Amino acid sequence: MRDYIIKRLLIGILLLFSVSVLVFAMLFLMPGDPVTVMAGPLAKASELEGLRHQYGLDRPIVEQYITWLSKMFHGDFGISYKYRLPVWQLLQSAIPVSLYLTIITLIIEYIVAIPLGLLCAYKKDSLFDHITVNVTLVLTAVPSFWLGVLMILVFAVKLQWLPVSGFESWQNYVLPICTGFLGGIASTLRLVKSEAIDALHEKYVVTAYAKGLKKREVLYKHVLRTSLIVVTVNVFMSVPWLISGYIVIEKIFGIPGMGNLMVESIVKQDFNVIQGTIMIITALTVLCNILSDIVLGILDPRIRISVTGGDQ
Amino acid sequence: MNESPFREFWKSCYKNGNFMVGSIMILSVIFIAIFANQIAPYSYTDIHESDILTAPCAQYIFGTDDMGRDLFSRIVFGTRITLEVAIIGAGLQLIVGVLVGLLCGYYGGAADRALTFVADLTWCIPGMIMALAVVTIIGSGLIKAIIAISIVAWAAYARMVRAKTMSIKNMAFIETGRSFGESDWSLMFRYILPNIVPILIVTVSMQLPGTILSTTTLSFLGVGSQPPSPDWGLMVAEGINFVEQGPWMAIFPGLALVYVVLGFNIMGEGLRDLLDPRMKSQ
Repeated sequence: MRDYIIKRLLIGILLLFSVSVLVFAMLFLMPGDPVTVMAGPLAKASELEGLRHQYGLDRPIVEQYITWLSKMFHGDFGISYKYRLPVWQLLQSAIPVSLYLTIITLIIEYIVAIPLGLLCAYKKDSLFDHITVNVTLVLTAVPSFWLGVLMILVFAVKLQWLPVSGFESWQNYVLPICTGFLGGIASTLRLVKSEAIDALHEKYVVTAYAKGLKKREVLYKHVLRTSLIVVTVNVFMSVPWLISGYIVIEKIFGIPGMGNLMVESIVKQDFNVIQGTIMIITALTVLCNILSDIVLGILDPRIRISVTGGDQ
Repeated sequence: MNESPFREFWKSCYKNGNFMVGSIMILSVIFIAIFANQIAPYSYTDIHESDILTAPCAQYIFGTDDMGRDLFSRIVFGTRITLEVAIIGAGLQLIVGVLVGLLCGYYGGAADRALTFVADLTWCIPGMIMALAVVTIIGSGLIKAIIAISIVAWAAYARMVRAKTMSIKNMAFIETGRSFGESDWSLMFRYILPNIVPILIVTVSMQLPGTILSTTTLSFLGVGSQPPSPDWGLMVAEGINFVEQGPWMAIFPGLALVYVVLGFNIMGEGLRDLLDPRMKSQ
C-alpha cells in the first residue's frame, strides 16, 4: 500500500511539475515582448525597462521559473492590469463560487444516476432501458451553451419562474445547476450502468443468487457495492472537469466563477489572470487524479497490485 | 453462399439501422453544404433593414436576426463551417495521432516513453482549459480554434494506434514481411496501418461530435469564428442578447448543431457495431 501511494505521488509530482513548466512557458510563447504581455497594453513605453527589471525578466530563465513558482506557492499570481487588483484576490472570490456549483451538481447527478443506472443494468433491453439510453444519447449531442439558452428562454423569459442571471439568491443557481446536471448526467449514467452490468456477470453475484438471497439484497449488497468503487473514483475525477465544463455555463448566466474570470481575461488579454486560472484548474485536476488513484488503490486491491507488482 | 465480401459488407450496412439513419442525416448536411447557394434564399450577409427581428414567417422561415439577416440562409451557409471543422479537425488529429502512434508503437524506447508522457499530460488537463490556453497564445479565429481543439484531441488517436501497433508488430505476417526485406517504413504503412483502418474509422466517428461541439463552444465564447461568420456557436451567442425579443435567433442554430452532432453520434454507434464487433455498445 505504501509503495503504491508513493508511486502515485511521484507520478503526480512529475505531472504537476510539467504542468507548471507549461503554464510558465505560456508567457514566452505569447506573441510580443513578455514585459508588455505581463504589464498589459496600457503600460507606458518608458516604464517598460524598469518593469522588466522589476518582474525579473532580465534574469536567467531557470531563476525566473523558480521565483515564479515560489511566489505562486505564497499566493502571489501577479496583478491584473484590468481590475488593478492582485490576481489572488480575484481567484479567492471566484474559486468558492465554482466549487459550490460543481459540488451541488455532482451530488444531484449521482443521486439520480446511481439508481437509474442500476435499474438500466438490471432491466437491460427493457423499454425503460431503451428510453433512458436514447434520451442520454440525445443529451450528449446538445451543447451546454444552447441548453442554457433554452433554460433561460423557457423558465426565465416565458414562465418567469426564475431570474435570468445574477448570483444573489439561491434561485439564481437553479438554472445553471440544471444545465450542468443535464450536460453531465449522460456519461455518469453510462458509467454506472456499464459497471453494474460487469458486476452482474461476476461469479460472486451468481453465487449470491444461488445461496437464495433475495434480488434486492443481491443488488444492494453485491452489485451496488462493487460498482460504486469506480463510481466513487469518478466523483473525484470529475470535479475539475466540471469546473471547465462550467466555463460556458458561468458565462451564459453571468456567474462570477473561475470560468467566467478566465474567458473574460482571455478576451481582454489579461495575462496574469489567465495564467493564474489555468494553473489553479490544472493543478486541481492533477491533484484529483492522484487522489482518485489512491482511493481506487485502497478500495480495489487488484489495481494496487498491478501497479506495484505484488508487494503489499 | 459465395457472395463477395464487399456485397456482404454492404448488406450488413443496410441492415444496421443506426448506420443508415446516421449516414442519411450526415449526407443531408453535406448536400445542404454543397448546394447552399441554391438552397438559401439570401446571402448570409444580406441585411434587410426593414425586417429586423422578424418572427418566422413565409418570407423568412426561421425569422431574421437583430441586423435583419435571414436566419435560414445563415444556418444553411453555417453547414459549410461545421463540415470544415469536421474535415480539418479530423484530418489534423488523424495525421498527428497516426504518425505518433505508429512510430511510438513500432520503435518503442525512450521516444515512446516521452511521447506517452506527453499524451498522458494532455489527458489530465481538462480539454477546454487547454484549448483556451492555446487560443490565448495563437489568437482567435476559426482555423486557430480547430488547431487548439486538435492539439487536445490527437492524443486519443495516438494512444489507440500505439496500442494496436504494439500488438500487431509481433504477428507472423510482419516477421514474414521483414524477412522479405521490407523497410520499417513499408512495414508500418503497408502492413500495420491497413489493419488499423477499421478501428481508426470508428475512432474518428466517435471523436468528431466532440470536435464539432468544442469548436462551436469556442466560437460561442468569442474566441473562434468572428462576426459576420454564420458559425452556429457564434449565432447562438448573438441570440442570447435577444432572448426576449427574438428567441428564434438562438433556437434554430442550436437545433441545427444538435442535428449534425446527433447524426455523427448515431452513425458512429452503427459503424462501431459494423467494423469493430468487440467494441459493441452495451
